[in-house]
Amino acid sequence: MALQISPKDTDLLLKQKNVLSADVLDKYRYAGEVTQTCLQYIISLINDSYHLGKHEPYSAAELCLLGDSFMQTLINGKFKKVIEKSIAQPVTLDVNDLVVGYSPELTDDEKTNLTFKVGDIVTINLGCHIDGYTSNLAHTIVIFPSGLTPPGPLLGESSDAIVASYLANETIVTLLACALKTEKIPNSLLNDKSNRQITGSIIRNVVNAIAESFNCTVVPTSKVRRIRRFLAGQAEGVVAERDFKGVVWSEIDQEKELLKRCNFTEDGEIISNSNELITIDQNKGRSIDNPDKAIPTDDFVILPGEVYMIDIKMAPINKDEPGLYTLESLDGKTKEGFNAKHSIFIRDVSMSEQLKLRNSRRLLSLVDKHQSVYPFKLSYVSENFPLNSKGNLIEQLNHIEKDVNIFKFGLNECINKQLFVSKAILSCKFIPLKEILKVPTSTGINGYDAANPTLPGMELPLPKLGITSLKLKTLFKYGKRTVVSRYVSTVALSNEVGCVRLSGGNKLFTPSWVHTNYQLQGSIAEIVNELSALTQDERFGIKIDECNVLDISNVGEEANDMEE
Amino acid sequence: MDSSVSSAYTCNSCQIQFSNSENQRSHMKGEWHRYNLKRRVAQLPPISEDLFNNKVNTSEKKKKEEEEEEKSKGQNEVDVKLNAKQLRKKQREELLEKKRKLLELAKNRLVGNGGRVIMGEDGKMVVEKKEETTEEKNLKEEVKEAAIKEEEENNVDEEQLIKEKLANKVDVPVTKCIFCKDEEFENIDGTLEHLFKNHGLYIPEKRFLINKEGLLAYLYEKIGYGNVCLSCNFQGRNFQSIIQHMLSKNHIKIPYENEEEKLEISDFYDFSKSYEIETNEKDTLDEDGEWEDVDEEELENDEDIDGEKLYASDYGLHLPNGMVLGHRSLAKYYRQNLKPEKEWSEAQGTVMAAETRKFVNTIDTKAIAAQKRVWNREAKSRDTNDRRAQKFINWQPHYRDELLQ
Amino acid sequence: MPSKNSVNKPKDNMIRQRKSHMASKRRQRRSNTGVTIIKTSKGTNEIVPLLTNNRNKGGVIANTIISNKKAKKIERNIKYAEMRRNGNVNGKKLKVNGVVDIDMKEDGNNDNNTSGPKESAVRKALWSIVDGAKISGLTLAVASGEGTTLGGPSF
Repeated sequence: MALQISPKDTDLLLKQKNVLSADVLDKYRYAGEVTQTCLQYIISLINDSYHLGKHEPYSAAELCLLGDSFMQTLINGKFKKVIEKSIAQPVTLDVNDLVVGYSPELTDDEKTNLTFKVGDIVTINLGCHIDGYTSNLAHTIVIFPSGLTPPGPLLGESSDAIVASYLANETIVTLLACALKTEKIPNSLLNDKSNRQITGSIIRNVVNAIAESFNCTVVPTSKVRRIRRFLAGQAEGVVAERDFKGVVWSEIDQEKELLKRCNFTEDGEIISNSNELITIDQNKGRSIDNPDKAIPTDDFVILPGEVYMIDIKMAPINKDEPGLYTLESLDGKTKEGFNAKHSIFIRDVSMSEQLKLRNSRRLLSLVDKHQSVYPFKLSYVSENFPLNSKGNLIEQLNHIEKDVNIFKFGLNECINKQLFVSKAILSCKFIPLKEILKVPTSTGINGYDAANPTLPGMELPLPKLGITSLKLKTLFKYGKRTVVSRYVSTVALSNEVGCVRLSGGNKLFTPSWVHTNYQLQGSIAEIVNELSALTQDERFGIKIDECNVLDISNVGEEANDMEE
Repeated sequence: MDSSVSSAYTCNSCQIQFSNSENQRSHMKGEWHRYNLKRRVAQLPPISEDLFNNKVNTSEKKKKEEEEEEKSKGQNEVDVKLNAKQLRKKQREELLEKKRKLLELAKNRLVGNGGRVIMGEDGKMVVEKKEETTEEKNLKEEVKEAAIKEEEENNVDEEQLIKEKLANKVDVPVTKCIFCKDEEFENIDGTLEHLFKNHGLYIPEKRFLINKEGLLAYLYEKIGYGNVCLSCNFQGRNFQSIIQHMLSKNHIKIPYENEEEKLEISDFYDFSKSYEIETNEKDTLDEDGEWEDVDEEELENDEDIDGEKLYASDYGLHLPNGMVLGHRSLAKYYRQNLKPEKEWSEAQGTVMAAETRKFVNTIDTKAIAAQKRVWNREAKSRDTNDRRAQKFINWQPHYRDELLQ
Repeated sequence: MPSKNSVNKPKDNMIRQRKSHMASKRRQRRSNTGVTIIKTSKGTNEIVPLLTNNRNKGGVIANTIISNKKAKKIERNIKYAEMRRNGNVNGKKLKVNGVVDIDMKEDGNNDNNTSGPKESAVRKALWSIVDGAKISGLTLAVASGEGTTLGGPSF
């Protein structure tokens, strides 16, 4: 949709505003600090209530709201002149097989008052933006039995995934930092020694190798991508962004991997002499011409002055049979004790329509005012949000509940008119390969399911097999839920200041105590060791500047009042 | 039956027979037949021809006698009845007739001579003539004489009238109400207020009125001395009648619509205050001081125009209080409730600028057309099949005659 | 009631009705079979895609989210068509007591013939992985050495 925005404005908004000047970096840094602080706050809440027993366990809904409120208070604290600043990613707590999007509202019934069990792995995902400069963060922690210290490390499949995703995340951060000092790039990574640069395919190979050595697979929708002002991947599947730059993992890659295993060449030609080949051209699913560069390819170079988001999700591989790891959208259904109602929505700004209900008009105007292009929850537009630590907390929570109930009346119309798009709650599923192969030949490759937000060019999950996501959906009944570990961090590569890690990092957040029987093997072990050695040595290696937490002496107390 | 055969020519209304058609026709045109027809309509029996002739004779005689009587009586009566007024009227008519003749003559001559007709400033026709015929001269003289005579008579009348009026003049002081004389006010303002409240007399443009007394005195004189109604031109016979007229017809108002009416009372006003604004206005306008279309240059200098001043733009008159008056003919445009143009925030603008999504039309028209063609073909073949089946339905081997069974 | 041999016998009417009835039956049968099967010049039956892809044009987007029930139905229909096309599956009769048993369990040995004779090469190759995994297990990374530990004994 090329409309409304003049070329001049486009240049200003997409290019000039994204130059990583000191001013812009300040905003990035503050956004990073907010996310760091908020993550620390949520981890402390979980530790206090689940591990140390200082408090009755918080439910997921309560944690989400407290986290959101805390984050909003911090955002409001600085950069008073900036109009557009808000939560960029609502706090989600994705337990075990959930990958993204689980952030229940307080108003939902008892079933949604999910509390965590011992042995659960919980991914905390959050993000904020100051004037569009966004920092996202995800961190996986383990729920241990309560006590002063964990009785022992977590073992088993989940720990494989945690270790693999953690290592991959850290390695990629270092690798991105190498883009500033190209002479430091490990030689074994480079195909062409004279052309020292970090490309998309290097990143993909490193992540795949790490996953492989821990017997894990990279879950679809994992990505390492460049983010820009107001374009932090918050609306993937809604907006097809031009000049997309990043590595994206999807089912297509898994299919490719499987075919490679049975000596099937990349370009669809078969080694066996069967001539009755009716493969579906892979390009049919994708559109070949890519003038706007909206379709992700690995063919890009990481340059200084860019900001990257690393979003790595790993799932342990089933030892018994080969299969496909894919994502099922829980369409607001109640399943096994928790309610997967959609609670996060995003405004599709290209849509405009006259609304009939007063409630929906009000909701729309509030959303346009506060949350314009970032995902939001209904509680954000309530008057009592963020919570005031001085007031009566219970009363405020009741007010928010009431407001959310009112907004729900208007929500339906907004969704039906496609002004809002609900963010799916995705769960990772393993589907045995034999079930996929049993499905008769496809009737067409054009249909795809609009429910799963996909990047352009990835609408068809298994192009070689000609299986659409609609058909894949029918196979979920054979599927098995698989735990997923996820780490997200944001890195700004500045020419002047060096590499600034906005979110995540070793210093602030040590990973939970886990042990896996696997370890890095072969060439990838060397590469990872080499890279980690670089980060240790500040003088001759690479300096990665990690964002610190903010002083929260004046904001942090509100949770203590929850006991009443 | 026989009679009808033998004499086909009859007149039913007169109940007579004719030997041939010509007689019958001439009868039908006659008065007698007409009379009998009328009688028949009135459901009266017809009368014979003799009787009719008698009747006619007697009635004619009567008429003649009456006429003669009237003639002898009439002349006396006319002399009596024609009073001075009617006489004057007649004379005036004659004079007018003569004048018209004169004009026509002059015109005809002009057409012949190629002279010019000029409309004079006072609206009279001034004719440039070159020569005059004797006929005209005579006519002119007559006209002149008649006019002089009339004037003399008029003068006499006016003088008499004035005398009469003066005698009947009612002088009301301005501190009193002319309609209800009992009340007496302290000053002229009280009177005006009373007139406005009780009688509805509205003084136009009060802001610029400088001589209240003079205006009121003038109005009182008009009523009391001239016995003339303020709003219509009714002339009362005397003071009582005019007061009666004005009260009953609700004519206590000062007409202030056209130029003449405005000029009538303009002596008591001073409008120089209102010109001041306009003289100031002139500075912003061209030196000519006339309203002109707003040029583009002037539009650019919109900021120069003070908010407090009254000015006209292309689409309306801007009042000092910020309101804009528009013309009624454009009401439908002012009244429309347009959606305000959407303004994007930077966030929305960025996302829109980066958006490459194309809205695919989900309906493939070609595919639908192909599908339709297939359906049509199927329907057609189905049809032909059925028709073929119908064709060979009759397998009856021999012809059987129904009537033989 | 006229007898069968009388002049006004309803014979022709009867014939007409029977003819049209049979014609309609035939038509019904034709249209029932015609949806999924298209006779080609070779005489073989082939499935054709319902939607033909034109590369230059945007494809058809399914805008609605398909419900589970609907998805089941679609799947079932496809299966149904598949079975009917093959006539029978694994030597089993299509009809059991006049009812088509759709959810017939295949026998344990997964012969890769579910997709019919025109099995694509991709499928064939992938089946080999499935079969291979059954025999020898997956080739995976091996756990060796001490393994890896992250974090430490603290929350």
